[in-house]
Amino acid sequence: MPDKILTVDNISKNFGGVKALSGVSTEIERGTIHSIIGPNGSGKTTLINVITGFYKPESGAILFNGEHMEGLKPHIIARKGIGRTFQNLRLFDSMTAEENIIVAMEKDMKETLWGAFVNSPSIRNIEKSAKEKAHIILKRLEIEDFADRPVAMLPYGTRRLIEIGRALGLNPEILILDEPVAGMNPAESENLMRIIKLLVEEQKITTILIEHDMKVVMNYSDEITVINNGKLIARGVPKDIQSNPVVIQAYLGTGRAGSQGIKEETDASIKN
Amino acid sequence: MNRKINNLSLPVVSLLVILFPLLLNSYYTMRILSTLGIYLIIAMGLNVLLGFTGLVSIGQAGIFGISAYVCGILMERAGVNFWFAFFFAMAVGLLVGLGLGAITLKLESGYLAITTLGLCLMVKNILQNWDSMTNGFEGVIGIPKPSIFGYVIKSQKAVLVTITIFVVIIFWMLRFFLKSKYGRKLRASRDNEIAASMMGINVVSTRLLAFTIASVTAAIAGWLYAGLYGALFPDFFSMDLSVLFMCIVIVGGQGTIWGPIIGSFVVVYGKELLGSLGEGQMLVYGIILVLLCVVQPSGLAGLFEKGFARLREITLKKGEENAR
Repeated sequence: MPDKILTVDNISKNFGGVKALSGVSTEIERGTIHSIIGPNGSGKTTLINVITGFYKPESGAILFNGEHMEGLKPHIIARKGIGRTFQNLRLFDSMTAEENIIVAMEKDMKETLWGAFVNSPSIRNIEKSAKEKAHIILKRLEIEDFADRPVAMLPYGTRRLIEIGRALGLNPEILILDEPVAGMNPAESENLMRIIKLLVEEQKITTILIEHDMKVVMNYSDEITVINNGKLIARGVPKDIQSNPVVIQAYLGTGRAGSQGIKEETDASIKN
Repeated sequence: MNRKINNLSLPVVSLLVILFPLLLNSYYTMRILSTLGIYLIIAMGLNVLLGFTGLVSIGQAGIFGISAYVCGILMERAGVNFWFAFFFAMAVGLLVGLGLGAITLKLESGYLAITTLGLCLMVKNILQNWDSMTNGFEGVIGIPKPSIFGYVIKSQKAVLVTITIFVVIIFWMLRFFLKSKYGRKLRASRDNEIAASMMGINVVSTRLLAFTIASVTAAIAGWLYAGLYGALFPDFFSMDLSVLFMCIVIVGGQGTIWGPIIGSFVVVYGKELLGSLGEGQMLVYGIILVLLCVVQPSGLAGLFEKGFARLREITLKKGEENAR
């Protein structure tokens, strides 16, 4: 029996008169990579922002492990086990890579306020074990060499990985990646997706992927949700999605030059 | 080996700093250093808020004033013991911090500056005009000198040592606090509010914590000031003083551990040097502040850090050359 970790039920969100999302529903199965795709401005990031509590939906429900999430504050949803990255990086720039990750571990660090003021032995132990955990994450992401470097100085691709590492610091059940390979070259994106795939397989972290790179989406997704103009237009396995005429039309419009581009690209990537 | 040195350095350095005033003879120097210590306590607390959390408070002199008057009046009229009055100072700090913070910090962060500015103006007015309680412009005088184990803290040297002890205690406590997960929470919510909340940090309560710590340290300074100086006048607790605290933090280097210490020496001694300028000194201050913000946002502490890094580079290079 399939096990739904997250249910998006009939979510609507308006900005002024603009309907960013109207009645979007989808379900995400535990332990899978689920992609959300759609043309620019279709409402993908808005949907993520609703799931993570940054926006309150006008109507509809978000169920995470059967529990209602809509209307909860972002930090509460995060603590329940939904970690995310951002389309335009949002790292804590004054900190090192390691510190960025430890920030997200905060909910599991039982440091008392008084203990923090007097640097009690238990605090020192907690800090030490947090560092060790952060190193494990950095190692998984193959960036342990950057642990003590201030993140502001690091190259873009590394910063992206640190952001993923930070989301992993939350020890999440769901990891939401908003365009993780944007701005990466094919080798870098291949490497990143390989690491993510390992995470999903070994730690059973359900991953929601928003991505424009069709090759990545088609190669790595277990299931795909397609939205356009704030509406759900298709949901299914990659093979069905890429031959779905509604999806192709949404992406390419009708009668534009080179309208076969995406289909050919995705076809090719599947064959690979 | 290294670790052993580190473990020892805390008590040894602290003790040296506390005992240092015993070598002093000049009343004038001790008097300045005492005031500097009081300012430093407030600046260290303000640095937690301004430097590490990125929030502006122009009301530290107000909180300092409320606490000094509450403690001063209790000690002078109600005969409350100096050490016992500490708890009243704590109560004042917590009340103002949590109360004002809870109202303001849910709004956008800029509102804290405006609210605390209001607090500062209000406090000075109340202190000047509530004659029956604060004695108006004549001030609260004759607050009995505190004593410890029968020894009366009366001489300027004893006052300076007492203040230094509190400076050292508060320095270490804040330093540990800032290194803990709470310190990281403050910096995270300063660096990127949205990311912080998405990583499970309650940004509002984190800011409330920072503001409360700044309030409590200012209140502790007020208590020390009332007890050790023995006389309070309303004009002292003005907005200029709040601005002075901000100067100390910004000149020294906001968001650095050593910033307030460097800043308090530079600003307090600078003020002595510029004293002859009268009103003109605020102008000089203004210019220095603007220049610093533009040219060196991390203050003097940041400048020293850069210098040390440079020096290390040079010595490393020399070492390499020598090795060849």
